[in-house]
Amino acid sequence: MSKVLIDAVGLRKYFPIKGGVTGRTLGYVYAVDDVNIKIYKGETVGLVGESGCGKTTLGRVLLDLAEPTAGVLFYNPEDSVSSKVSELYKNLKTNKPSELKKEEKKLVEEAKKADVYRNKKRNREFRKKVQIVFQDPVSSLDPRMLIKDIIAEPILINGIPTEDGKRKKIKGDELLNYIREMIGEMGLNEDHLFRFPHEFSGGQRQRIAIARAISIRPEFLVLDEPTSALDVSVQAQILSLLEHLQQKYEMTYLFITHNLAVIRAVSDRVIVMYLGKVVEVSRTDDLFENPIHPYTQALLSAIPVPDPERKRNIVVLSGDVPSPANPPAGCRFHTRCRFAEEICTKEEPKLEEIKEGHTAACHFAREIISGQKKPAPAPTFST
Amino acid sequence: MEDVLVVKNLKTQFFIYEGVVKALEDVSFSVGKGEVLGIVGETGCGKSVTAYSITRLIPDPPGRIVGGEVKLGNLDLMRNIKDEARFIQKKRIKIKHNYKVIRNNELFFNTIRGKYISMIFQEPMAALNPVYTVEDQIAETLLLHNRTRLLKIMKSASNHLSELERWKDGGDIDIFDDELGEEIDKIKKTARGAESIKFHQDLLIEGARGFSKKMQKYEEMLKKSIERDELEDRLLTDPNPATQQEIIKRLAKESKKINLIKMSKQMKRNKKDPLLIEARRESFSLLESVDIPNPRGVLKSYPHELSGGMLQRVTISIALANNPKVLIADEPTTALDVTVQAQILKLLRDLQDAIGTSIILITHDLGVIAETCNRVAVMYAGNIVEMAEVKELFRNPKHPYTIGLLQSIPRVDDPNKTLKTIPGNVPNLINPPQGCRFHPRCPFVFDRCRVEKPVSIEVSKGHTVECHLFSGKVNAE
Repeated sequence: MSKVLIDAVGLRKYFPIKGGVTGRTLGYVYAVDDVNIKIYKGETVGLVGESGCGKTTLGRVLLDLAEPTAGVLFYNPEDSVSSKVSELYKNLKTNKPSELKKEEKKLVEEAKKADVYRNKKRNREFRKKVQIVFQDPVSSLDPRMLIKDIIAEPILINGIPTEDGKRKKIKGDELLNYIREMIGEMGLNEDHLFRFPHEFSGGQRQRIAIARAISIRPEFLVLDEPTSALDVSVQAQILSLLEHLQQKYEMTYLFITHNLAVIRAVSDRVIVMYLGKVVEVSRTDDLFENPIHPYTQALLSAIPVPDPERKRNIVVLSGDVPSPANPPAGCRFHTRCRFAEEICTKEEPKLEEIKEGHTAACHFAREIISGQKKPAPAPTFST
Repeated sequence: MEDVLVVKNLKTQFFIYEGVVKALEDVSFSVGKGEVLGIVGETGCGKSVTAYSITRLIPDPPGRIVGGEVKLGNLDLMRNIKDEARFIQKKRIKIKHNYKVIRNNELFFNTIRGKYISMIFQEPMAALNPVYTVEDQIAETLLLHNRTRLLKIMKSASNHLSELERWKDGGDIDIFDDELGEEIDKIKKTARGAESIKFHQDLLIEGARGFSKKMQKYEEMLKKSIERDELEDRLLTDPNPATQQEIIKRLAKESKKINLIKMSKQMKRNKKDPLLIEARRESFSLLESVDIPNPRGVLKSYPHELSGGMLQRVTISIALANNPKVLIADEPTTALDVTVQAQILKLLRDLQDAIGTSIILITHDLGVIAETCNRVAVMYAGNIVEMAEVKELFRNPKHPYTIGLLQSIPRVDDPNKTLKTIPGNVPNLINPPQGCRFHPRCPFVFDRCRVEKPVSIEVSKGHTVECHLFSGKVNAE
């Protein structure tokens, strides 16, 4: 397998809930809770889950746009260091931020020495290598800037990489030519450069946002629901553009979306999240053909298939997603799970490798795939 | 199949500073009884404008229905649309409104909306009023349109008070041969658990007592309400436009307007009013029928306290409260997650089986269409370009736009599918392309497309296409 590009260990992001006259902290929203993931060079990783499950927060934490409450993030890690730290993190058993800070202090010293991009200088280096495309292209482009300025801004700050591996700052005609070339590649015209964002349609705006993100040739690109505000015909255009760009510039993608059909079309591996936890990680085909976690099974069965002659069984989950501020004890999915038993309400399942390259966090993962465990009668319906 | 709603050459335009947006151009379709018709298309193709035009919810100004016919039974809903305003063509178009006609139309439409045609909106949070409880809002539509039924149940209950009390004490109850009987039958079938049955019993008895106390007043109310119902039903069945006009005038004159603030206060203060008690019981049973957990708690809660899926259930229960003839669902699941979407679609289908309402389902998701609809209309830039049975459309799409649309959706069950794209963008409807509106993006374009607007051609039974490609073939055959 290719080299690890990003290694997140014990990543947690808790948002405090402030209230009362004095603004006390009343509790925490456990948006991302103890997430360990690896992203390999050159692949596209899909991140799926329902709204409010922490997908976007995880994406932001991975780019250091939001500082994690605890946890380390390695970029291009050396195996020896990262495995040592992950060993340490496995012993972290608390989810109270104050205690976490104390515990973590000791091991972060170690981690910081290695390759964590937390201090300013290193952060800058890190930012040159990672970029993000946001969901809503209307609010992510400055309405007062011309398109050429929007695309030029990151280049003026960070420069573009040269062949000898260094970065060089460009300006004037050289810059304009570079942007022209870029915009042509995005499927836009040169005269679009001298317009403002409001003059474009949703699909075109998303192309501009992508152009801005890849203008400094990043290695790692987070795509946060890049197509969910777009129509299907435009979505197809953007997806094929992204595929073309990835091949050309050898980028690694983290593709965040709630649309599973899109995930299947673009990604090599999929991470499924539920209420701040990673519940299943697998290669795409394997996940869609043999989902292990009961949540993934329900999620996959719920996608409408545009084929009226295809009959299938839909597992209808009862109830709503619980609040991430007060997640259920034990397995977070047990309140809606068809397979839940007593152990699920008490003990939290670990993310284990069930098959080669297919991990899931469920107490009964093995029983479910071997068919030994039968689901409790739940509302299913067939089309 | 009997047609419940027939739309013919509907034309809606928006008069804005930049010019006239031709949002709908001669949209025609019909909805059969108990049928689910899907309308699918991209953003800005006129799906929602169609729905809003049928219910006359287009904001005016700037929007205006400039022509067409929408027939509900024998009644043309766009009857006097031309009298509402005149256009004065000078340098820029000016509109002179006739406010008297508009006001009468508005009053008349209040009897149609919510009773014969009701709607579910995309954003349930925006569709519900944030300052009233769920109970107030469900009760509002019942009190406005369904008084007769509520009063009939109360009347019957007051006649059978002793039997009801015996039922509450644990005895069995005979099923009566009237509205109350139906209601008890429904309670026995659908109520979840003893507590819910007890809630029904309590309210029924309480209401019945209130009714018998002021018998005369409520009898009078019932008589009036029945009269009104008869008038409204005659409006839909009477084929003579002159009588219709007369009825509408009468309805407008005595049109009751329910003040939600007043009603909400009344409900809190006047706990003995049988009409309000029955409305509350009915709201409770509606919430039960849409699978809401803890319906008693939800009745008392405000919209912001509920999740998106729950709110959508509440709006569905409001829409179905009066067994409408047609239910228009405008992107009912777009704002929801897939697992919740599956819940809601299942619910809509179950309720449709139970009630037999015709549904117009507007969505941009072809997956949803494939799983819920009987018939599909594909819209592009204000035109219905193709219409067919759902299986026929997916198996045998004819219009180049439909083909492009189907080829551009990623499929969960087919990962190796290469996504094809439709080049270009949706046209600006102020200056739509001449001839066929799809021609600038069409791969099969030829000269005729650029000048002549295609008409609807039936390629096989029930499958119509608006495309010049097929007119030649059909003629040759």
